[in-house]
Amino acid sequence: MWNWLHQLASPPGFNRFATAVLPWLIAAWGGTFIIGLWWSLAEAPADYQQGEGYRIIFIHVPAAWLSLFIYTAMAVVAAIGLVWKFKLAPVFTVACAPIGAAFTALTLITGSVWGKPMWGTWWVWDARLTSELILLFLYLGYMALQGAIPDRRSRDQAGAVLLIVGVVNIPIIHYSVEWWNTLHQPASIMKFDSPSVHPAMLYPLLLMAVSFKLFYGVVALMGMQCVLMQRERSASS
Amino acid sequence: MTMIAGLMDFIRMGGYGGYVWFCYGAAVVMQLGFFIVLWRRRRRLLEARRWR
Repeated sequence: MWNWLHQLASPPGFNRFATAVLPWLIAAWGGTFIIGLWWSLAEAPADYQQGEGYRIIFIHVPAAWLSLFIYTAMAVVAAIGLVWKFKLAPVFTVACAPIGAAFTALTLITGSVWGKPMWGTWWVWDARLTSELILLFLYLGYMALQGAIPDRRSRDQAGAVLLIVGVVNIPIIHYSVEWWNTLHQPASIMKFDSPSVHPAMLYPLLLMAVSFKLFYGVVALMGMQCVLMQRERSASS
Repeated sequence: MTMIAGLMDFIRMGGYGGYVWFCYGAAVVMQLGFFIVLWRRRRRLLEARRWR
């Protein structure tokens, strides 16, 4: 029953899976991204308080969700790799780190650009923004660690430990708006109550989130294939 | 003229155009950039593998 999972966990099995799935994922990403861009820019109504400027939400929020999701996925896979010596685990984390860092940077930049007209400031040291900045440092720190240790096994283990230790930042980011008095607004969607966003804005937001996630799938699979081939090449030379 | 006026309104985004287009532009550039770089790297590595 678990044969398919074992096949997927082996590099040749993963390569076959990635090659088969990639064209469909790329098509799905392209379609949802184009529709999402149109829906969020042209169809979604203006906000009664923020006017058209609120449309940055359709980039900022999905990017923020992805930045948290990718780090959590990296930490979980790193833990699995440490415990079960899973060969593809460090391949996954090395491939995902740049994408996660890029989404975190996008979150911070779009949040800053949104904050200037709405809050009157590019940056405040409030809990949400500061913890998201720390997340960016964690991603960059992981990438720097990968470049700093010559021995591959030590590099993979050290990176995994950093990811696992840093995962404590994820609930801090998510709950920061509840635990502290922050300038950043509290949760409107990811809360136990029903979302407090109007459907006319919620649905394009969710579509953009799906599109961003499909994009992550595409670049993660491609990145993992590249890392696998690079490791194969350096092992044989 | 109405279409051009409508298009100008769309670009101006009620005065927030600069902010909004910058953010959307950053997202598009980031995604396309990642995709193109990884696609080319993957193709180069696949070709090198074929010739070994």
